[in-house]
Amino acid sequence: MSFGFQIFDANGILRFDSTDVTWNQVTFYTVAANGSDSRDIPEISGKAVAVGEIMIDPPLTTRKAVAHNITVNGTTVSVSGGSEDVYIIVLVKG
Amino acid sequence: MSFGLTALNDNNEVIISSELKNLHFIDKLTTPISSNSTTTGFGGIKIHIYRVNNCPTIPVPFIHMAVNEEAGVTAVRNIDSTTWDIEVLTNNHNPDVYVFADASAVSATNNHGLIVYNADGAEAFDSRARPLAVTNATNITPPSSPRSPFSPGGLDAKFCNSNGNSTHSSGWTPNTSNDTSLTLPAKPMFFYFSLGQAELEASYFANEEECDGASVKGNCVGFVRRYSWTSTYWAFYRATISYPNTSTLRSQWTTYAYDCHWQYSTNDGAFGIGTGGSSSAGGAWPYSNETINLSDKICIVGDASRYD
Repeated sequence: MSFGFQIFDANGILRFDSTDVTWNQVTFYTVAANGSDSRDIPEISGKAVAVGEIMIDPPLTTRKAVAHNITVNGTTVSVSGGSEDVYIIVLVKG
Repeated sequence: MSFGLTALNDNNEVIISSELKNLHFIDKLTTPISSNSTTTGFGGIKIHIYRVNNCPTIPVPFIHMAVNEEAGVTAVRNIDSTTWDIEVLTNNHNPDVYVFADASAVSATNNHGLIVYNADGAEAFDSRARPLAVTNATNITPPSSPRSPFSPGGLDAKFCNSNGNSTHSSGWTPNTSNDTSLTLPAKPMFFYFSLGQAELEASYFANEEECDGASVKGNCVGFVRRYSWTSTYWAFYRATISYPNTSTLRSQWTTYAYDCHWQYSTNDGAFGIGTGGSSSAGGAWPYSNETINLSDKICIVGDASRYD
């Protein structure tokens, strides 16, 4: 490559360079069952945002396991309305 | 920025930043610590638990499976401060789980490469652990129902006698999917958390009457015993993904559990007067007959061969 950067490991193998694309993690946190959370995350400004929601306990067939609703408005990520404890992981690209 | 480092790729996107946290390859898990519910019925069911050790932050799992094999991450549990369990639902196969996490989980010991720190001194990027590079990403949604049409028949109404048999299995095997055109590498790995859940159920009824006496115009004159049975067969599904080829990503349902609930009752009478009865019930009861959590979910794709 005539411009950009390349990062090699100790064995000389190319591991990462400026042709790669990636999603980076901004933060992760938990939201309780039947709880809510709203927080400002300035790092997501101007970037593509992916908010992953991961149920902490396995789903039970004896009751509904309703996912939280997630909205991204500007740099505010809001989570609410779910019946399960969840991990929220915020990823960005751009 | 007034400090730190930002590196852009050829598309002018930030791929290393001291204000973000790159995901780094931590481990490739090929052997689950436990697996259960193995069956080829109902389209196949096998639920694995993979354990991640020495990881002080949340693991981000990418799953690699062969063409047409279905998989989805259905739960992540924090066992202790550095140990996590990842639950993966499959249609009866053993996928590989590639685990990524932020740089706090990197345990490299050599002194070659590049490390970028955040303002608080925590590592944001460490080239000694292979950083995550992705090839594609898209939003996907499973179909509104696991089966179309859903019209099972021929199951026994008494005491769930057909529970798990071939008729139950064939009637509830998922058969719907949504395809998305997406260019995949030869050995793709997928970041996909399954939130979609669906349940389908069907109830069967039977009644019998025994009469110790004469039957007049269909009515028992004498002592009568009436029996009734109800069996509700069901299956519970979670949203999963698969790929029929390297240009298509498929969203579908995979059976997570199946079972049946039954009720039995008797009513006795003599000469038109009720003399008592009894009832009993057994089996497992499903939560409801509906589909929930159907909104779009992101699926991020990487090249698994890069981390082998």
